[in-house]
Amino acid sequence: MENKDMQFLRNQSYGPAPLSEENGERAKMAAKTNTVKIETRNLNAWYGPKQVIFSVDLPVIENEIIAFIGPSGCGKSTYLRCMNRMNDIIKSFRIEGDITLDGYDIYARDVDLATLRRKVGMVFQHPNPFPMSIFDNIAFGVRESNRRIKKAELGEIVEESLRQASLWNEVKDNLNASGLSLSGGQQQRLCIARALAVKPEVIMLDEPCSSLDPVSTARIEELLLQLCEEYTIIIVTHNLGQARRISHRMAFFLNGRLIEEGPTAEMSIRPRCRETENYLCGRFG
Amino acid sequence: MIDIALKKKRNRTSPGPFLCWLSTAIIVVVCAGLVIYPLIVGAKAINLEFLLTDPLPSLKEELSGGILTPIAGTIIIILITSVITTPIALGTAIYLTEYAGRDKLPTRLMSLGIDVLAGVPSAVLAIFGLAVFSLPQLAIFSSKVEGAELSFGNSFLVGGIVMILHIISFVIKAMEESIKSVPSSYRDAAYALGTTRWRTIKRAVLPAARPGIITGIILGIGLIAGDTAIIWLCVGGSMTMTGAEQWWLPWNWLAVIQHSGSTLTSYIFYSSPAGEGNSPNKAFGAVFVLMVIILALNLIVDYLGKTKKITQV
Repeated sequence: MENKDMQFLRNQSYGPAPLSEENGERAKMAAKTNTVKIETRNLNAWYGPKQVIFSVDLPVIENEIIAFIGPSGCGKSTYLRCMNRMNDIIKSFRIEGDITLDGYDIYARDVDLATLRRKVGMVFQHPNPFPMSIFDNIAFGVRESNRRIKKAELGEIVEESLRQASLWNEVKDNLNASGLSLSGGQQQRLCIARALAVKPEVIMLDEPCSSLDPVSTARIEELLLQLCEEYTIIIVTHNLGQARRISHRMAFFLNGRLIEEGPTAEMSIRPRCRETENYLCGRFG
Repeated sequence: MIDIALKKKRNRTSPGPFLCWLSTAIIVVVCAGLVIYPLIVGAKAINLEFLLTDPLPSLKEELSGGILTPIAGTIIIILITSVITTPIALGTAIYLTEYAGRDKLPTRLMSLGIDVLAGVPSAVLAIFGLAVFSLPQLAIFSSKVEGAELSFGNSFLVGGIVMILHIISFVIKAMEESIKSVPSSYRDAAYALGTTRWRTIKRAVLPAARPGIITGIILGIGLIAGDTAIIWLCVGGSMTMTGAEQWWLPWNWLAVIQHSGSTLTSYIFYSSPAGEGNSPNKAFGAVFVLMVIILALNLIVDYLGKTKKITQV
């Protein structure tokens, strides 16, 4: 008798509908609009004197899942953190070039950092719920944007976010339990729910499944496939199988440079560059 | 048949482990003696009358009253010092960990200053405090001396304020360690949700550091309860409350803290053969009460330390 986890894994239908397929509303919508949600042009970045990103031009299309792949230390996470200006926290960090969200320069003088970071949400590699109750974890970001929000309204937002993150049924009976009492996979879904509560437009995930078991990983991948109907998703991953399973497009980084980007299916079968081919075949990485 | 190479060689025991064990045994025995002897001797003096009577001026031990005033005095000093120290220490700890550049020269000088303050003997702080609070402009903290341009310089307020200098370095360090040990992942998570720096500290970092902060305050209270030099020099050697006869009435409390009194430590000094009184058994009784207080504080710290583990991933 197979246990529930194995059954869950078997029942997964992997992969989003490729953009070239006619069926699937999502595929049609993305193919029709092709709107660029967030884009970098000639982006260069330095930590002190050391340059870490070299002239990256990369548009991210609305409602797609794009996977950033590449070996460790190639700049994927640094590039990701540029897009919600999390690197501003590091004093020695400097960038040149443009990053635009819906056409607006995110490094413009009058940009409100808090609003930017809510619109471009981030989920980190290791689950990092606050040492508070599940309810307070989700409510944390919401209370920042609306300090006078009533408890009832907050409760609705918490429930909606937990439902979107496929966590509601598991925690609805005890929202006052500590966020740290959940399992690793549940904690990561809690972090996703926390990011969703502030109504982002883009969700960035930095290797979200690297510390999770295969069942939790599969649950989160299924969740991301559902979420991309409403949000644009950028995922940094070391796991090429994961990239192939869930992404519409892939972008391959190496030593701070964008080597190649394109539709997942195409890039997996016929990479244009030798380095991409070597990485995808596992000759290095 | 065991291989010759693997066969156990003749035992050559090194004296090292034994010497380590011996050092530990000596310390444990001495500490046990230090704690148990006063507790046994002091327990004999403890009764309800002893705990609830004010000290009386008498050189006869049976007539010298109880330790109610010293217990109240200890509580007063603890309250004055900890209420003022906590926000100042917390603000300093937050500034040094979150805002000041870690390796910059001003920050290092500030940290050095705090460390130097930690090393100043409490007797030196006490004399410094006496000198400052004898200034006539600071008469509000104690009382004016008639016919001279001086303040009295001895009161619970003065003792409490000087005591701040004695404990604040320790409390700042404890709070700093606690704040530093909050994982940076909490800060990252808060920033990624659109929180400003100050609100991140207030809503994400400080709640996570709370057990360690409280531990620092409680250990500071332990230091306050145990100090003698500052009490003797800055609060005074009077066994009773000189501010008001009925010191327990709330409307007398301002007068009480502006005047002198005693704490458990000054009572112990006074009643012991080294002081002016002559009640060594009652001194041990006061030692008993003081140790119970300090033991209780340490147990609370221990309990909070266990609670803290829940917050670690």
